[in-house]
Amino acid sequence: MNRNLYHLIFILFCCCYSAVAQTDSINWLDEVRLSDVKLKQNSEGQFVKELGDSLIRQNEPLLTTLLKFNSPFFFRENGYGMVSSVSVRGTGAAQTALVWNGININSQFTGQTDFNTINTQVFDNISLRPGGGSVVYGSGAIGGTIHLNNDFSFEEERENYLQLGYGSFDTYQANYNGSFSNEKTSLNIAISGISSENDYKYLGTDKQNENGDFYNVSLNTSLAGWLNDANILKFYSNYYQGDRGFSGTLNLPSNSKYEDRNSRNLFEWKSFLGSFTSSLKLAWIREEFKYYENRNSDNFSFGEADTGIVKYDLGYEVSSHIKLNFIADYTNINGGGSGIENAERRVGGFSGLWSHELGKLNYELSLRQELTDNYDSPLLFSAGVNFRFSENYLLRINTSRNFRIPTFNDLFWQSGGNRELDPETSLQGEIGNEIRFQNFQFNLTAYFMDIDDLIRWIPGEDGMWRPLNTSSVHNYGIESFASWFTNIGQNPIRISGNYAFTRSINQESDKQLIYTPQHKLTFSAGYEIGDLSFSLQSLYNGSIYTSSDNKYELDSYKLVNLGAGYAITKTPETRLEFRVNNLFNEKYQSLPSRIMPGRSFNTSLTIKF
Amino acid sequence: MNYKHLLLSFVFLFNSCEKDTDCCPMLEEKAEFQSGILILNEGNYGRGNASVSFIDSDMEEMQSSIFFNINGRDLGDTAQNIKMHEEFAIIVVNASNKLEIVNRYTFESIATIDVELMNPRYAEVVNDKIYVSNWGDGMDPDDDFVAVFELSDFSFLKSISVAEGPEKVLAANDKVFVAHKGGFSYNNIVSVINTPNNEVETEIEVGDLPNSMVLEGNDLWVLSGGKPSYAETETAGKLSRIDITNNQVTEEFDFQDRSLHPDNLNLEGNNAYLTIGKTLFSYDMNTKQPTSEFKLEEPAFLYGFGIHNGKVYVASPNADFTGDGTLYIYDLVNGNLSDQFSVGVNPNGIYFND
Repeated sequence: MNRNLYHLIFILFCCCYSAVAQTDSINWLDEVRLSDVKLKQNSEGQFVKELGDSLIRQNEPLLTTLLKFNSPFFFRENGYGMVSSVSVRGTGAAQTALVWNGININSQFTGQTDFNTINTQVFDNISLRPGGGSVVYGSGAIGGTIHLNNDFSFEEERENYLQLGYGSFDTYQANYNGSFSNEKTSLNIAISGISSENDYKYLGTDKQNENGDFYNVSLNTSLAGWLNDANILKFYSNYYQGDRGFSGTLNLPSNSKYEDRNSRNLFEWKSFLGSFTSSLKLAWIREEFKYYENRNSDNFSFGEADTGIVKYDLGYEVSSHIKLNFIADYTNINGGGSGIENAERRVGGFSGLWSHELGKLNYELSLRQELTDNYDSPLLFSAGVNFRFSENYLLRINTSRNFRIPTFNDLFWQSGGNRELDPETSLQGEIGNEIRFQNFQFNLTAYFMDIDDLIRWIPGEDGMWRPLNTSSVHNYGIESFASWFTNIGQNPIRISGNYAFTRSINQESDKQLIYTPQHKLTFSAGYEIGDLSFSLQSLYNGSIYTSSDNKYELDSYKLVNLGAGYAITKTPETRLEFRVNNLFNEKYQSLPSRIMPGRSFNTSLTIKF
Repeated sequence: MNYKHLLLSFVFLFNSCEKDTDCCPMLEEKAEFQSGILILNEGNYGRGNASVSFIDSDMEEMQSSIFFNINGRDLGDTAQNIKMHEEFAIIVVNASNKLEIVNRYTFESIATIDVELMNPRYAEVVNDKIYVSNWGDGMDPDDDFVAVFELSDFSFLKSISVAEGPEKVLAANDKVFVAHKGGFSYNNIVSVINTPNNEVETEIEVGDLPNSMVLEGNDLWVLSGGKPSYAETETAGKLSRIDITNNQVTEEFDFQDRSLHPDNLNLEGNNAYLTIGKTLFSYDMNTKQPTSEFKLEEPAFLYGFGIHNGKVYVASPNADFTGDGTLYIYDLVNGNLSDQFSVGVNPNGIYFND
């Protein structure tokens, strides 16, 4: 602590000094290339799984589908393309933060993100970081964080990628990605859209999915330019527009409609001054929704929120092995809508991050304190260590305190909003093991979380629903990621699998929380022979309780997708792909009465030029 | 059950031996639900898991899902209410937009009415006609109605347009009194339907959000809960006495504190009872004063409520509205919990076969 303080003071005094030191070139490159450097440099003690662009492009553009088959996370879906929420390590959807280029974009109203309102095709990589992360990523980073990233390169690049697809239920899909760069400037443009009639049959009944039609379009631009040798400007912008009919259930018809309009903009000015890295970020995020109970009527309810963020991050390399960051930020959010008037939140925050590389052992310590009039903010911390025993074995240990702040709905909802709420807080720890041989990598993590003051809407004696800080939950389990790459003869084969065992126990009732499967398993494989390629994706989802007394549950299910591709021409690179989803026509649901699609087909054509 | 089977096989044995004798009286089929308590469980919206539980009168056996067991199909989505009339039990299934009509003692289905209903709430029977209050489209204040069906053949007769949010219905003197709680909004009237011509003859202003009605001679007592704290202006509850011969409000009692929202007006013997929060009050019709009796501690809250033969019945869901709820039975005299049963998902009403 004293040493920390010493270094803080040291930095403040040294600011006027123009210190001369060598910059670690790798770190420096990260600072230029990545939008979210902290994900790479401040994740000591935690495992980060990156899903690259080829995997993203190979899957359909809904984030739910990508992660359902490529992560140990569980999703509950109201239907294909409908409202979908994630459960990471047995937590609720609001206890997972979705992070766009380093910025938390969970809804101000619900505290969560609907994973079917994220179009994946406009991002360069999507990273999964299970475990706590509130010091860097803010509210909701309890179960884990999921990162949507755009990267830059400065390599005289000029690449265009076009994909067109058509599938069952009148599903059309198209996306274009263009990357252009030279030594000074880098530009990425991406646009992606999907639309579907989504009128699939409910297996085992004579009914079909009605009123589930949807479309969405996402546009992403990122632009970076060097001003001179020491200053770079970066700009990221994402716009999302989506309209959906909300489908009925097995028992009820529906005639409702939901419209999302979201925009996210981030500007960064980064300077390299000897041992200092200075970053000024300005972000502006707008979320907007409209809900029509009757899509043929003009009556709707709505919500809109604007978030402005100013963030200053000063990094200092104390030595070539020690890096210190001091961050000050200010966030202002204004929102309103049906049932909510003049909701406002102003938050100031200070963070300090310390990371130290000692050869085999690297550790990181970080602290964050927020100041706001909305709620009492706890001191957040994270401490992590990586110890490399050998080339083949790495041990990770991390502990952190994280939080989820009350949402606008929790605080300001006219009928029941409770301004006395405290944030949910978690104290958690994990131990991870990484075993790595040439082409084989295996990660096994055991974790424990104690989440207190859970915010729940419960009816009072007068029958009125109000959010209250209620019970405590203990989550524990194991999580593993494995991948293997090899060649059979000349032909490459890739295999990967994930498994999660999850217990999420309400401390009052001693029962497993609803919608948290104890077991989830995924397995995927890809194989190439010359111009042909084959792919398999599969998952097993264990049974899930749907009632808190654990008397009602949904059955487990298994899904298998099979795909085949053929490279038609080499220049331009043209590919044709064909995929069967839910090959065995399994009838499944992740919410009662919300039947998911049976077997379906998808074809796509891609051209790189 | 096994015992019954044994008895039946004995009877068959007997019958096969002596073909045409009058020694053995025909075994009269005793209706399975002749005597006991029916609990309506609304289930979860959208899941189609509404059900009816039955507890026999000696309080020993609980049967769940009796509608499904007898009829081999699910009751539907979000069951709101049962109207008991003669041998009929008319079950209003709100989200399924239908009425399931069964024999109340055997629970065998007699008919399903699934036309001309939209967001049905409560049913009443007068002069062999069924009156059902409907909200229509919840967000549209102008499309609320009372649907009228023939009890003889369950055919549709008429749709009577009414003010917003019709809820409870009560018949007296060839009239149907409809309490307008207001649906998604707030309302403060009782509309009166003249059943010979099936038209609204008048609207009577009462307190805000009328939630329960009881009839005593020619007096209709209407209890209004008042607007809740999250309304623009919170209002106090009110008890109104209406003379049903001339539709005039003859007396009104205002609750003093506007944070008190009374509910569940019941008559038992010569006493009136109501609840505020989870506390039961007796109400002296002469002094116009409520007296606190006791607090019902165990339920999460009073979702279904009834007083019957000296007992207070409370149907309570789990606090998070998932899983099986509980029926609590209290002694009206001393407030002691005398019995409790685990029933179906989100129980909202208690009905009696006796």
